[in-house]
Formats: sequence, C-alpha cells, structure tokens
Amino acid sequence: MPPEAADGGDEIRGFLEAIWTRYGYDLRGYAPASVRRRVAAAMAKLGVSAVADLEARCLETPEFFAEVLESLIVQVSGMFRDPKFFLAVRTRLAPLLRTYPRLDVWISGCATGEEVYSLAILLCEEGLYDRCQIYATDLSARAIERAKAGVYPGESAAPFAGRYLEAGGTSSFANYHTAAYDRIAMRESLRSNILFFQHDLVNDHSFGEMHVILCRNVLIYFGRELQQNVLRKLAASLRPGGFLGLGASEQVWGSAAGFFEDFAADQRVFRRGAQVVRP
Amino acid sequence: MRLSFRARLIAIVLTAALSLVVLVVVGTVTSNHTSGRLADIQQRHLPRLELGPRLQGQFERVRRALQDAVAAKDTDGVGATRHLQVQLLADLSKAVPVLTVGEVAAVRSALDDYYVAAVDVSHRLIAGETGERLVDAMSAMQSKQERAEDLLSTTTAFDRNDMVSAFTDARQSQISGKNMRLLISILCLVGVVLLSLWMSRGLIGSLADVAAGLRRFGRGDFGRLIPVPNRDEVGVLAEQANEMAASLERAAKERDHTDWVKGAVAGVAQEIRGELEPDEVANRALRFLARYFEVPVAALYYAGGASQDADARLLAAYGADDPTRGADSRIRFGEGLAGQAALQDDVVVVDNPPADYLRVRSGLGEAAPRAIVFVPLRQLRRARGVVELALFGAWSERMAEAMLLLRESLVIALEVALARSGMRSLLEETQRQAQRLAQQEDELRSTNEELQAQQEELRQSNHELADQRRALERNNLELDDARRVLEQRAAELTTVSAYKSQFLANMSHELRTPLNSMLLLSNLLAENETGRLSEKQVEFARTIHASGKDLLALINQVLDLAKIEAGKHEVMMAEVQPAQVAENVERIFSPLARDKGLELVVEVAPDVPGSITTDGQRVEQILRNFLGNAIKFTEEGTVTLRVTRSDLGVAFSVADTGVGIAVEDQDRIFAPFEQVDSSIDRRYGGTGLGLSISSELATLLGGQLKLTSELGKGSIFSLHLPIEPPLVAAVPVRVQPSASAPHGWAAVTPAAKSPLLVIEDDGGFADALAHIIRAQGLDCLIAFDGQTGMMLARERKPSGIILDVKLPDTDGWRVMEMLRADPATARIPVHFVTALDAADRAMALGAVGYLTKPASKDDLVRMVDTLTSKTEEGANRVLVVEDDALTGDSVARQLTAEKLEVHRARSAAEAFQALLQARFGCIVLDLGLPDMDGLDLLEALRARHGAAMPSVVIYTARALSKAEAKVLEAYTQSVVLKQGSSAERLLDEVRIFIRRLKEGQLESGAVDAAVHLGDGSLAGRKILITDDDMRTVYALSALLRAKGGEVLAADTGRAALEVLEEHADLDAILMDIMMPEMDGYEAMRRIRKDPRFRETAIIALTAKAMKGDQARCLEAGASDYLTKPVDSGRLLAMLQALLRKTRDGSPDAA
Repeated sequence: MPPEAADGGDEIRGFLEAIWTRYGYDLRGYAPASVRRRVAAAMAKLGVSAVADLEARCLETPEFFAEVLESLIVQVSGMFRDPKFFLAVRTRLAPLLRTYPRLDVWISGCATGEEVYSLAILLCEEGLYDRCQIYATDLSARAIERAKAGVYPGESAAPFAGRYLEAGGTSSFANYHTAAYDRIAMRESLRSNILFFQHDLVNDHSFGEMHVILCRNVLIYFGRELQQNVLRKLAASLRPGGFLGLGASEQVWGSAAGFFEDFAADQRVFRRGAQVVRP
Repeated sequence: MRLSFRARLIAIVLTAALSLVVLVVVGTVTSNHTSGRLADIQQRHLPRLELGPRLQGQFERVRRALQDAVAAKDTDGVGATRHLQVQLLADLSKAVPVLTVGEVAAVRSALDDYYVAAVDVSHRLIAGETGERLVDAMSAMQSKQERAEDLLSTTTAFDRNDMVSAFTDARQSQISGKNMRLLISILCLVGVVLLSLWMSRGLIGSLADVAAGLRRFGRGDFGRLIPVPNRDEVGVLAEQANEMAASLERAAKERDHTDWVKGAVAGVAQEIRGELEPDEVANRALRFLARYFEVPVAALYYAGGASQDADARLLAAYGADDPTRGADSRIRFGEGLAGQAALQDDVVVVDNPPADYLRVRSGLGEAAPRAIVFVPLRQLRRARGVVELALFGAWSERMAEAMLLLRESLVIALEVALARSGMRSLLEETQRQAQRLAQQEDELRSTNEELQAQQEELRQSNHELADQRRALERNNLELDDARRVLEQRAAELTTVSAYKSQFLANMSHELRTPLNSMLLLSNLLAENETGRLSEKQVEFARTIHASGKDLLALINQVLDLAKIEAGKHEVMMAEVQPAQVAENVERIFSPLARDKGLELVVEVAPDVPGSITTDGQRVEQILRNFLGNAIKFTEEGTVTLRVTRSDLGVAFSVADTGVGIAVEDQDRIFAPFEQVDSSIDRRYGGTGLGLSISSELATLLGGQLKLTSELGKGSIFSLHLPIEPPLVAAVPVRVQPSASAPHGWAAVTPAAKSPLLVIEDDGGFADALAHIIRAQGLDCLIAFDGQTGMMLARERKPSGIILDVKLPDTDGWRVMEMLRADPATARIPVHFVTALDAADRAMALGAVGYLTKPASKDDLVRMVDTLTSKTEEGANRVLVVEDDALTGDSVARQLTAEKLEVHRARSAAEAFQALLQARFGCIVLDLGLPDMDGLDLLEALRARHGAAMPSVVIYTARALSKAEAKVLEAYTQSVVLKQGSSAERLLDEVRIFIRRLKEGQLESGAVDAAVHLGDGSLAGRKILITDDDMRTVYALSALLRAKGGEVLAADTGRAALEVLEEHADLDAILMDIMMPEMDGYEAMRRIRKDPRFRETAIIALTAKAMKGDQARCLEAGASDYLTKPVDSGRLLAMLQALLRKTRDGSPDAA
C-alpha cells in the first residue's frame, strides 16, 4: 500500500527483520497497519523519536527490546469477554465435550490469562474441569507470568461478575477469587490443570492434538498470509472433530477453511473436519 | 343490321327442330294410313278365311249330333246337343269384328230357328211320330237348315279383291310417305348448313381480335384496346376485355405505388434491424431514405431519453455540409419550423422555401431545394422527434405515405435502441458496482479486522492508562522515595564516574610517570655519556627503552580500544580536506621514513573531492597506524600514500614494499591481538591492536578497511570513506547463521510413506512422473525394465506401481502377472499407463486403472491420487462389540443409516471370530464385556494386528479417570463416554475413521517404514519416553520397539523421575518440555543432579523454535533436542549417535 511507504513501511519492515534476526521474534507477518500503530505507540511510550533509534536500542539491549515487545503486542483481555461466546461453549459445546474422557484445551494468545480463568470456571461448572489439561500460551513471557499469577485489579471484579452471569454462570463469580489490597486473585484450584508457558504461535510448532483451541483476537493482528499459516497450524493441532473458537471478527477463510466445518459459526466456533493437514 | 349471335343460333336450332317436326308428322301420317290398311286386312279379311269353315263345321256337328240322337232314339242325346249349339253361338258371338253385328244376329236367329225346329223334329221322330205334320215339320226344318247354311256361307265368304286392293292401298301409302320424308330431310339439312355458314362468318374475326387483345393485356400492354365492331356478344366480350385491361392497368399502377411504399418501409426496417445504437439507427435510416427518396439533404432529431422530452437532438444528418451548422444540432419542441412540425401529427411540407434557407452543395455546384418536409416522429401521441428532408423534386403522395408508415417502425427502433443503450449503460454500471462491491467487501473484511485490532489496541491503551494511573498514584507516593534514591544514586554515579575518570587519569598518570622516568633513564643509559657501560649494557638499555615505548603505546591503545568498545568513542564529524589530512600525516612520517632510508610518496588524485564530512582526527589516527606499520615493516623501497576516489567515496591507501602478508593470514590481521606470527612481533614490536582499532574506527566513520597483499612483495592497506557519513552509523550486528531446525511446522503424523514405483522405459516420461509423485510428497522409484521393476517391487514394497506395457526386456502384462503371482507384491495396486489401447486387458489382470498416453498432467496427478488413495477393503465395514442388545441395536441402527455395513459381536470371543472372518474399517467397542476386559481386548488386538490394527472407537458408560483415559489413548484417541451428546459424537468418530481410511490417510505402515530408517538397531537398549501426549508416546514407542528397543513411558517430569528410581540402567530418555506438574527443564536438571545419570543420553522434545529455547534445553542438561513433531528418521539417527558416544565414552568414565 502506498501510504505504508509514506509512513516508513520500509523502515518498519527493516526493524521487524532486525528483531527477527536478533531475537527470533517474528512479527514480520503481522498486519502492517497494526504494526505501524504499535511501533508508534512503543516509540511514544519509550520516548524514542525515530524507528532507527528504536531499532538500534533494541539491538543493543535485550531489556529494552523486552519493553518494546510489550508495546508491540497487544495484551488485552477480560473475564468472559463476549459472554455469548462462553454461553455457546456452555450450551452447545459442553454436551459434546462430556463424551470425552479427557480433554486437551489450548488457549493460544492468552495474554494476561483472564480468558483462561473464564474457561476454567466454565469447565468447572460443567463438571469437565477435572478431565481437562489446559495449555495457556502467549508470545509474551511477561504476560504469561501475569497470567500465571492470576491477580487482577480489584475494580475489574464487578464487570467480570456481570459478564460471568451473562455467560450463563451458575454460581457467583465471587466464589472464584479472593479480594485483597485492591486486587483480586483467582483461586488456586482453578490453576491446578492449567499449564502456562511462553509459545510463539507464528514460529513455534504445534505441541499436540487438542480437543479445543481458543485463539481469540489473535489473527486480527496478522497479515493475510500469516493468518493462513496460523489457521493451518491450528488445524494441525486439533484432533478430528475438535473445536476452534475465534474472536468475533475472525473467520476461518481461504484455503485453510477446508479443514474446518461450521459448528456455532455465529459465535465463531468451528469444528475440525477429517482432512489431514499436510505441511 | 346483323342478327345477334344468339338469334342466329336460335334460327339454326329452330330450323332444325321444324324440319324434324315436319318429318315426324309426315312419317306418322303416312304410316298411319298404311297401318290402317294393314289392320283392316288383318282384322277383317284374314279371320274370314277360317271362320266360315269352323262355324260350318260346328253347325254340321250339331246337326249330326241330332241325327245321331234320333238314330239312337236317345232323348238325352238330343239334350246333349244343346251345349254344342251354345258353343256354336259363343263362337259366332266372338266373330263380331269379322262379321258385322247385324250379320251375326241374322246368322244367330237362323241357327236358332233351325235348332229349335231340329230339336222338335228329333223329339218327334224319337217319339215315333209320323205323319204329315211331321213331314211338314221336317221339310220346314230342312228349309231352315238350308237357310242357316246359306246364311253362314254368305256371311263368311272371303272377298279376294277387296283384300288385294287393301294391300295395294297400304303399299302405296308407304312409298309416298318415304319419299315425302326424304325430301323434307334434304330441305332441312340444306337450310341448317346455310344458316351455320352465315353465322360463323364474322364471329371468327371478332374472336381473333379479342384473343390478340387479351394476349396484349396479359403482357401488360394496355396501350391498344380491342376494336368493338358491333354490339354482339363478341363485341360485348371485347368491351369487357377492354374494361378488364383498364382495371388491370389501374391495379398495376397501384401495386407499383404500394410496392414502392412497402419498399421504403421494409428497407428502413431492414436497415435498422439488429442491436444498434440510436445514432446508428438514425444514420442508417436516413441514408436509406435519402437514397430511396432521392433526397439530397436529410436530418433526424430525436429526444434523448424518456426523461428529456422537451427537446430533440440531432441524431443523424445526411448530405448537410456541416451537421451542426446546416442543421441545428438540437431543436426544442414547439420552437422553429422543425420544432413545430414535431408537435404535429401529419407531415409538414414547406414548398419552395426561400433560396437562402438552405443551399444544397456539391463539388460541382449548389441549388436550393424545392421543398422542405418535416415528418414528425411520435410515440404514444408524444412528440419524440422529427425527420427533416430537403427535396429537389416534388413531395409525392407515396413519399408521404411511406414516411407515415415507416416512421412508426423507426420510432420503435429508436426507442428500443435508446432503451437498450440505457440498459447497457445501466448493466455496465451494475457490473462496475458489483466489482466495486466485491472489492469493498474485501476491504471491509480487512477493515473489520483492522477495526477490531484497533479496538483491542484501544482496550490495551485503556488498560495501560488505567495501569499507569494506578502506577502513577503509587508512583507519586514512591516518587519521593525514588527521587531521593535517585538523587543519592546520581550523586553516587557522579562519584563513581569521577572515580573512574580519576582512575583512568591516575592510571595513565601512575603508569606513565614511572614509564616516563624509565624511558628517560633508559635513554640516558643508552646514550652512555659516561662511557662506562659496555656495548652490551648499552644494547640492554636500548631494549628497555624500546620496550617501554611499546608498553606506553599499548596502554594508550588499550584505553582507546576500551573506549571504542564501550561506545565512549565519540566521532566528531566536520568538513575535512583529504589533501590536508595527507599533508598532516606526511609531515609526521617523512622524517621517520628518511631516518629509515625509505622514500615516502604522497599522491592526491585530481578527482578527489575537495572536502568530505568525517572525523579528521580519526582518519589521521588510522592513517598513522597504516603508515607506522608500513614504515615499520619495510626495509627498503617506497611507502606511498595515495588519496583517490573510490566506490564508497574517498580511499586513502598506503602501499609499501615490505614483507607482505600471506593470503591465509589476511582475515586475522584485523582481529585484536593478532599478528601474523610471533617472530614478527619479536622483530618489530608493537601491540597488534592498531589495526583492530583502525577497523573499529573505520566502521564508526561509516567506512571500511581493505587489504591487498602478497607475501614478500608488500601490502596495500586502504581506508574507504563515504563523502557524507550515513545518518546512523552502522552498528555491527553479529549475524548468526539461522538455526538448522526447520521453522514452520509439519503434520503430526510423520510422512514416512512407502514410495511409488514407476516401471517405464521412456526416461523423460518417467522423470515427469517422478516429478509429479514427489510433488505430492511421496518418494518415487524408477525402473526402466521389468526385471528391475520386479526386484524393486519385492524389496521396497511400494505403495503403488505405475506400469508401462512396452518394456525393453518383457512386457507390462507379464510384469503384472508376476506381481500378482508373488505374495509379497500381489496386493500392491498397479496402474497402467501406456500408448496401447488395451484397458480391458489391464483391468482383467487386476489393475486399478488404465491411462492412455499421451496423458495430460492432470491425468497423471489423478492417476497418482488413485494409486495413493486406493481404499482398503472393508473400509465401510464396522464391527460393533457390545453386550447390551439394546445399546448395540441402537448403535447399529445409527451406523446402518450412514450406509455402513454393521456386524455385531456380543462378546470378545465373538469379536475375535468376526475379525478372523473379515476386515473391518472400524470397531466400536464397549469396555464392559462379559468375557474379557476392554483393555485386555485392545491389547490382544494390538498383539494380533500390530500396526494394522483396525481403528477402534471406545463407546462406554464407564467413568474413566484421567489416568485410565490416558492408558486408553495409547490404543485409540476415540473414546466416547455415554454422556451428553454421545450418540452424535460416536457417529462423528466413526465417520472420521471411515473417511480417513477411504482417503488412505491412516498410515498404518508408518512404523514398518520407519524400521528401515537409519542403520543399526536399538536391541538391548532401554529408553524412557516422557510426554503427556499419549499419542506421541505410543507413536514413538512403536517406532523404538520396532528397532528392538525396550520402552518405558512417563507422562510428567515427576513420573519420569520415579521411573528412573526403578530403572537406573536406562540408556536414553526422550523428554517433552511442556508437561504438567513438572516440566522437562526441571526434570532434566534433577536427572543430571543424580551422578548415575550424568552421562545418560537425554533428547529434549520441544515445540519451540527459538534459539533461546533450544539453548535452554541444553542448559538444563539435554544432550540434544528435536522439534516437534518428531521426525522418525532424525530421532533414530540422533539416538544412535548419542548411544554410540556414551558406550564409547563409558569405559573412560568408569
């Protein structure tokens, strides 16, 4: 796109190329417009005036790069975001999940973990949690640390509780956390079957065949080609008949769409078909 | 006057009829007379000839009868005569026509008298009477008899004369009648002939005239009428013919007129047929009209579209000099002549327009038209346009008629064309819009994503803001503390910095001061002013002095280098004159060179820029280093400093004629503390840091150093500098070669499929096939003849064979037969591809397909697909093992509805029986069977079928613990609990299996294939697989067992440690990283802590691709690592390599 060039697209591309070479974080396939905004945000936050400076300093100091990375990737989440999605999981997915003696669940791009705990709560209430192994991953190691801690600002408890009810919660959100010092901490029991670890959806490999994958509002930051690759990777990580939940404005599309069937397409839940994903 | 033809005809007929009547009458009269005569003869004369004798005879009989009766004295006999008498009288009565009535009466009375007398006499005689009286009576009687006889004979007498005269008379009348008829006939004939001749005369001439006239009319020559000599029928006929000719002539004229009009209408219609633009319609119509009407100038105006009907624009013009001038390009209805005419219904004719109204020009001359005609074009009583014609001739009726007729079709055609062009532009518009829509849709999608992303980012910012606000509040509180700390730190820093500066200053001072005195003193000693030192001692003093100098330089340079590397070296960019730089260094080095007996030459090329932007100090520093080295390493000859233009900008080169540097050493020379060889160091001294510093400096200046040198011939060191330095100095980025681990990702199942075999003698074609096969991710073997093909088929067990018929050593049919005969190859699907056309034979031999050359690429791809997706037999067959009849029925019903062939087994025994009898695509298994536990059954199945075990779907109501579920997963991933939507799930699972089986996606042969991978076996090796994904565990253990290894499994790091406690003799451990409870890193660290396992091979299995992660694996104690999904070949190779190493290494370690 021409405006990209005018906005220093080449410069940004060079920057992404440099951090890929230096640190192995591959942001090159991300949607250009989003990356441009994020780079601008990072520069504003860190008081750097030129992309070249940003690049130079990133290459110089890994700590600085870690800071920059936090700004480059969007880490935003919330408990039971899109309550209708979670309602669909509860009403439409759960009956099928009940037929599995064991469930592997992967929440990719879990950010600070709100979604992970939301799903864990839901699975508890549906009596499925004990048979689950939940893998929660994110590109950002810091986000993973925060997710693992499961501590959130106290003022978020009220909206969380509201959405919890909207999502068909059968108990009270308060049962799942402890409030102290203007913070809420998620109950330890929710964490027992969750494995948090840093994982780069773009570069790292799939690590097993899952029954359920949630990868919500991750694809939106990716460019079209990368979206296809990631969708294929997700398909390869799902066992046949497994489920994929995407964000509200995401869609399985293009050639990767062939691996999926609609399940609750209105809530962006898709089901893996029988085709084998060939590399 | 002549008689009419009819009268004459009647006269003839009448004459003939009259003659006929006369003839008949005369004939009748004469014949009547003759027949009268003859009848008279017949009736009167001829019967008399026999009447007389007959009556006399009868009378005689009566007399005799009476006599006989008398003689017999028979009274009765007398009475009997009575009937004879009656008979006589009756016959007499009958003779009336012959005899007159009077005669008959006379005869009768005479006869009666006699009879009465005779009877009386008879009776008296019989009575015997005698006497007179009697005699009297007898005489009376006698007389009476005579009288009767007399009377009889007279009356019946025949008159010959009379008869002869009657005959003669008859003949006479007949002859006269005949003559009379003949005469009359002749007279009639003559009359009729004369009459006919008279009539035909004159009639023939008239008819010939009429005929000739009609022939003329038939030819269309109505010029001369048929003459009418008189008013007879022919005359009338001629008159009629003339009248007919007249009306025919009228009709022809009318027809010509109509034809012309029709010609105009049809011509226009013909011209404007088809899908034309309105302009084209108008143009063609006008062109035609002008030609047809012989009109020199014509124009057509028409309203543009339905919406604009207040005016009409010029659609077409014919013959006008300049359509826009000679005819207004646009008219308004109701305005002007044309506009007014357009509102009319009829044609408007303007005769003899003013001479200057319009001139019709041609190359040869010009003239004013005689009439201007406006033909309004109307549609549904609406004025739509007008045709304007300028004529040289008169406006004829037929033109008017034609125009009125054809304008309708013209209007329709124009309207249609307008509508069509409107429609087409609408259609185009629609298409454009559709395209735009599609584009916009695409854009919208990405915009949506973009928006969502922005929304997320916004949320992020909000979060960040909130975080920041909170942090700010906290920070505000902490800020003071922090500031205090900071101030303290700053103070400390300042102190530290000061310390450092002071340290450096001290350092240089402290080092340099003693060095200085040392240098001074050693110099003094070396001068040996007192002369008390021996030669040797002076030499020592010199050496001390030189070493001291070197040490000083080294100290300076170390500080320098440290500064550069710390980024402390600042570059002061300024305008620098290259020539000036050269001059500066020359000034420094020419005395030195002179001292050493060398020539120092400085050359500045004329095209060198007058000034460049760089740091002059640094450039001089580098050049000093170059020149110093050059002079140092050159014993005799010249040292040249050249300033030239280079690709980068400016080059400063220092060439010497010294020792030179070997090519293999040239790379090292810029590295710190490197010198070509220590002997040089010893001979020439120096730190070896100078070139490193120069190199760093050059980079800092955006330039570079270059070296060309040959051992023994001298060296050229050059510094290339840009004219303008780059905005950002290139930061040296250490680029590492990218990791050998493949990024991207792969399917979970390893792609270790057996190859396809191509038996084909045409190398080119075989290559093409191989290309296609490899493109599908399959290996390909090629055999150019049948023998090789058979051998490869037996040894390599290809998953399919592509076979040509024509082969050098044998033919494909024979190869096919051999393949089928050998049990090892009998089941391999074979696809023929050949130029021969013998599909039937191929299929009869059991080929899966037949392709005729030449084949398209698509055909070949399809063929390969056919071969690779050859479904296994029994793919649609499902075995339901379920002891509960009700559940079994319902499952079977569901599956049958899916068109699957369902077999039932109620126990494990039955299941085994069924499996012996048929192949199944899938088994639905209940775990709670009466005769065997489900797990045992699975184990038995695996033992029996190995890798070829059919897919199993567990369908159970048993509550399974996570651990149990994991155990099951080693056999199958499809475990359906009878909870929730289990019926739906079960069906899905079976469907998936069947589908994969049909598409040949279940790679049961993967392990078999892997057995051939790598060399050597794992026999006797004990390997622990630690992974929480049971499928991985199963797949890897199958692989390792196939190579003879003993395999243990653990699903967490903790479990792995427990296993290790029991099996200290483990040879290798495969360690997944991401595991619950205890991850792989931690597990490996703990394992390595145990001295027993320090040398055990551990291969980390990780999904992570980043170098850092892999380094972490090694750090945690892994011997090596593999990325998931695990490639069987690489795993085996790595295992064997590691095991060999530990085995070789262990004796030493022990």
